[in-house]
Order: sequence, then C-alpha cells, then structure tokens
Amino acid sequence: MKNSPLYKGSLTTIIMKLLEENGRMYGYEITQKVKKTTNGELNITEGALYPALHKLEAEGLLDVEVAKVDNRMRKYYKLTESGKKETVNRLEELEEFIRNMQTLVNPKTNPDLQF
Amino acid sequence: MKLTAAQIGFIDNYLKNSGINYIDIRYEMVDHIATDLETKFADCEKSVLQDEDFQNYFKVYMAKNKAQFLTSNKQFAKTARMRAFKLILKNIVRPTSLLLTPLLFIILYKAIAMAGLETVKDILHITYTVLLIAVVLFDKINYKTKTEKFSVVDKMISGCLIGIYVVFVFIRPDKIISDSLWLSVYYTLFIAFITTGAITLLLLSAKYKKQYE
Repeated sequence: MKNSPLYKGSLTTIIMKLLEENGRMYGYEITQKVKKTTNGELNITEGALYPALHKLEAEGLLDVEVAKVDNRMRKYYKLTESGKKETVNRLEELEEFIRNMQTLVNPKTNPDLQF
Repeated sequence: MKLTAAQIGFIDNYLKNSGINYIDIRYEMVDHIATDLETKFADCEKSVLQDEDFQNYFKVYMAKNKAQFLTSNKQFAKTARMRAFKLILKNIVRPTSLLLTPLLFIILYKAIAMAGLETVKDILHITYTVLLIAVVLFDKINYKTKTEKFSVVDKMISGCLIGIYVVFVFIRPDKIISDSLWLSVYYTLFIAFITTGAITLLLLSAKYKKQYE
C-alpha cells in the first residue's frame, strides 16, 4: 500500500466498498482489483490487507466462506448484514472527509471560505 | 497454469516452519502465494509449473514478502485472542447463562449448608484438577499427533488455562474467603466461567471443523 496514513486510514472502507460491489472476494482478488482500478497507483500489501480483513471479521462486519479451489483452500469474505449497514456509514463518512479536504486544500471553490 | 498438490504442500510446509502455526491463516497465505505464482506464469504454455521454475520463483517471492506474512500472522494471533475473549464474554451474558447462574449459586449455597464447606471444597478441587489435566492432555495429544490448530480455538484454550491457573494456584480465593455466602458467589462465578468457556470451545471447534474440512 502507498506509504501514506491517508490511504491506511481508508483501507477498511475500500475493502468494504469492494465487497459491497462484488459480493464475495478472496484476499488476492482484492489486491488485484484495487491495483487495476487505480491503474497500479495503490498497491495493498499482504501485511496491510489481511490484518484489516481479520479485524473486520472479528468486528462481525465480514463473514467467511471456505471453498476448495485447485488443490488448496480459499477463504472468501463477504459482508454481513451489519457490515452492509456499516459500509453505507463509512462511505458517507469518507465522502464527507474528501469534501472537507477539498474545501480546505482548494478554498477558491468554496466562496464561504474566502476572506 | 496450476500448481501441483506437492507444490502447494511445499508452500504450506515452508510457512509452518516459519512459525505460522494456525491452519486458518496458513490456508489464506498459501492461496495468496499460489494465486500470485499462477498469475505470473499464466501465459506459459505448459499446463503444470516445473519444480525448478517453481522453486526459483518461490525463493524470490518469499525473500520479498516473508516479512509481510509474518507481520500479518502476528496481528492475526492478537485478533484471535481478542475474539476468543469476546466470545466467552458474549456467551456469559446470554439469557440462558444469566438464568442458570443464580440457580447454580443456590445449589452451591445449599450444598455448603448441607454437606459442609470442606466437603464442597474437596469435590470442587478434585473436579478442577481433573478438568485441568484433561485440557492439558488434550492439548499435548493434539500437538503430538500434529492435529492442525485453529487460531481462535487455540487462543481460547490457552486463555482459559492461564485464567484457571492464576485463580486456582496463585490467588486461591477459597483460602482468603471464609464466609460461605461469598464463597458460594466465588464458586458460582468460577464454575460459570469454566462451563461457558468449555461450551464455547466445543461449539467453536465444531464450527471451524465444519468450515475448513
């Protein structure tokens, strides 16, 4: 993952958003999806992805399904009912954060902040 | 191109020897590495990856990513302990447990009044000791027969054992408390904790086995 606290703070929201769109996904699939969507700009490492997934699972926001695929077991993650609700909240929160940041970084677009 | 069962086994063994003991996280890591490797060699014309190519790629891959997997494993173990603790707490405050606990208290209080404090103490001490030995033996046999360990289950066993050992061997509230009412409260809470821990453990064990086997 890009070495920035800004990205790190949004990792769980990114994961939840992807699961909301795709139903169920496995770890490697999530890393590739993020990489592809951001044209290689954002690269989630194993050391960041799996702890985030396990934390979300422990919080009851994700459910796990295990299936045998090509000589090995694969863990799929999907949102629980409370996970779906939480995704909506976190996305709203992230959007608000982005709006506020844009206003602060680029105040010309917001007449209220012009002195 | 797909990896052979032997190549998958090799990755699993390598991770196990690197200290990644829990099967539930190893499954995930093995799949991650194998999928990455298969993706890299996707355009190769052969249907099976030759062992030499596999070994070469695997060495390079692990040199680059091993630290990430070990970090992930460390975090996973921490999360597993917290999950085990939360599960026991959740089961303790369930309506069934909350209804049975006062009942257990009444039984113990009456037993002390009828059979005497020392008799009840002796019975409970024998029961604790047998239980403790059973759990330790179960854990040792599991280790010797190389039964795969599931993270939350294992953390729950070790957490309960540490808890019982500290209370039972170091604190010994039954030596400090002399009043039979408070002693009944202590025994009730202790038994409720052990029973809930054991039931949670059995249920969780069954859930993991069903999920992963």
